[in-house]
Amino acid sequence: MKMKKIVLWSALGLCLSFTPAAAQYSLYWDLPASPAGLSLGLSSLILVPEPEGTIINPASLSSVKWRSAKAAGLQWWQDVYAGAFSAAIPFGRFGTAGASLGYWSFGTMAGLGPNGENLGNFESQALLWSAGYGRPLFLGWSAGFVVKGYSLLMLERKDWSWGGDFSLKYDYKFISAHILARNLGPKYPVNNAVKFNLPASANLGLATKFWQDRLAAALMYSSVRGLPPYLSAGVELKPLSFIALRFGYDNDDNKPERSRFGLGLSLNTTGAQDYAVEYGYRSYGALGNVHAVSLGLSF
Amino acid sequence: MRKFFTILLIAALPSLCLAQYRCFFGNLHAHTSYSDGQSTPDTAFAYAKNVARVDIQALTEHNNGQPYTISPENYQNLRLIADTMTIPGVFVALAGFEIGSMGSSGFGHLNVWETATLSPYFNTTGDLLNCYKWIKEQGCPALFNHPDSGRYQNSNFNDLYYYQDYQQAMDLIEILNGGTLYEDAYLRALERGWRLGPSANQDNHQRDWGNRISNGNIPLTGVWADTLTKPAILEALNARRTTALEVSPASDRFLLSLKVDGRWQGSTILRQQGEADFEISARSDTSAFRKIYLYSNGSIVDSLSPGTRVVNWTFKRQLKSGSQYFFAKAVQNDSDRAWTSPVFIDVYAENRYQVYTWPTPVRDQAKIIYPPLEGANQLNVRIYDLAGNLIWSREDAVPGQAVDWDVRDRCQRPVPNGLYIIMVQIRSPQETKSYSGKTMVTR
Repeated sequence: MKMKKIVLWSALGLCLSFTPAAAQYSLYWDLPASPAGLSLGLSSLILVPEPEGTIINPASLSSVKWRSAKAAGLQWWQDVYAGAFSAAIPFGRFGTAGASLGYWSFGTMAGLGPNGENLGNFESQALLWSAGYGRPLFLGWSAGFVVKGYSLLMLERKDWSWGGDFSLKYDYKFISAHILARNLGPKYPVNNAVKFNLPASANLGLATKFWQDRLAAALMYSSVRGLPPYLSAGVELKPLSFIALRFGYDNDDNKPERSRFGLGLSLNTTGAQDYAVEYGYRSYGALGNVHAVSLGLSF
Repeated sequence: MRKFFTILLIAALPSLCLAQYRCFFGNLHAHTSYSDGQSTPDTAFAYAKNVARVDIQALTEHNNGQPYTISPENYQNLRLIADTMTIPGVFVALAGFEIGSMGSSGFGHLNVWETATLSPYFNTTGDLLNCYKWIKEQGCPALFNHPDSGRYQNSNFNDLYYYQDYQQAMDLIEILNGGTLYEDAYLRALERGWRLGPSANQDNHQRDWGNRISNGNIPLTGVWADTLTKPAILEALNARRTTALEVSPASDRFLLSLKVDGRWQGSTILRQQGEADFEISARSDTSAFRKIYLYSNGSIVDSLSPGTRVVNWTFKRQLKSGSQYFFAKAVQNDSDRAWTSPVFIDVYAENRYQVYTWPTPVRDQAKIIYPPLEGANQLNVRIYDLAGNLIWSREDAVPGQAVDWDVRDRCQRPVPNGLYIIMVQIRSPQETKSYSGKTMVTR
């Protein structure tokens, strides 16, 4: 147990030491970096308990009862890969803190100069980070916030910027209602003369659980600045205590190649130490398929 | 029998692909009393055919709302007369009009030919884009006239500023109008990004259609077409297959043509790095060629001093990556000159990626390069961000040519820095191929 504590605190310290580290959804791409995010879409924000769902829905951090850590890896398309590490630590009535660190590799490209000259191959990456805190308030209400940022490393320049999310949760019996304001902050990148508005979004969601938590469902309405609103829905079914099947759906018409449906699977042990292996999948049509796996630990 | 025709068709295919054209000489800019010139269209066409002995004569009356502007009724009369005076294989008469105005609030003059109706008046500086848009919708060939504000105020089309969306609107530019040379404007337009062929015209306002002498020479436009028919001439003008030349005496005719990799001047070629085959041909019955120049991207890159009346200059040239154009210019011993239209070549470096942008990383403009497909007739390009959001698409791109992207999204907003995925689908009657690649936007 002592060793696990050391690992967990080290991971959290590592995350926080990176001028603050990777959100599950990047600041402006909103890319899923976990199996749950991939399979369930935005409904994972209110459906999956910990830790990645809670990092980006900080009000839910208040309901995290166990110290948790998770490492995830994604195979995107076009030689793009991602990895993320997230952790959450509850402090009893003082709430729960969490952080995450992510890395995206965009692979290699052949540089071609303005006059057609060969600039050689170059690589680009992105680093993403987040740190959040959530706690119960009163009468079933919880609140939380997260600060997050990114650094985009490109040929000849590096962009960086930051933003924040705020959320409120209200629990009533087996239903929870969520209000999220995401991607709030200055225009990005902050260190570039050419700046853009963050894709700020307002999200309203409902989540519920039935049959001793064997069936959980969530529905979320998302309105992103400058884009048509859309709905995300997710279902997590546990036919056995150690297996969870995930089905996601959204009607986001801005992504014509992406399948509206996502699939996922979670296998976990139960007991004082809870290990979980998760898998997520979504088709992006002609662009390719995306697979994500993660290994999580709660204790 | 079917087998016989199949064999015949296969045997004929190479010649269809490497079409041979003849040069027909014409004057594409002239007026009559239907606007501010003299006499009538039937007299003008008859004069051009029988006295000046040109193959093509266009009448392009002013359409600008001035008191002398052509009326819609007269334009329909002009079309009728042009059709009547056209004799396939002998003479082609074109009906057209000259749009726009010059002066303090104008943008210049443009010629269009063989549209069904007159255009609205486009007279103010702010009308330029609407004018391009109208021409693009007509699909007719169009010409930048006397494009120099040094001679006429506001007559150079916003300094020939290149609008990617309206590339398809314009086909030609006057390098000679009467005795005035606009070679600088031709080079500037090409440097700006326009893909144009040169034209030399007389802008007649008097009774000298086809043989007006200015500074001792007669400007003519050589049009390379397979037959002397109106559809073939219009196709050649749309394809920029022209040679601008000045001749003297009036009976003088000479030829200058350029082919790269077997493709005629005016063509656009998309190809990999490597050596290209150039063929410059010139022929004259009256005067030897003193010098032939090869121009590329604004400057002379090669020359030949043949000193003969027949020249067949063939050579290989290494092409570097990027977009470039080549055209030939000839000067005869009697100082007559000629300019071919360019061959436009988009060259991509060999690498392991099938689709990419030039340049990479991208800043403000990019050309999307992809593998060519023989006989392709449809090209679709889509750009996505890393989340799969559709950022930009082009469903009517021209196969075989690099596709321009202005690094903006579908709402014309600049796109943020980051990684973008390019999907290209190219179709021919036989097959459909899809390719993908990625690029980085860095500002």
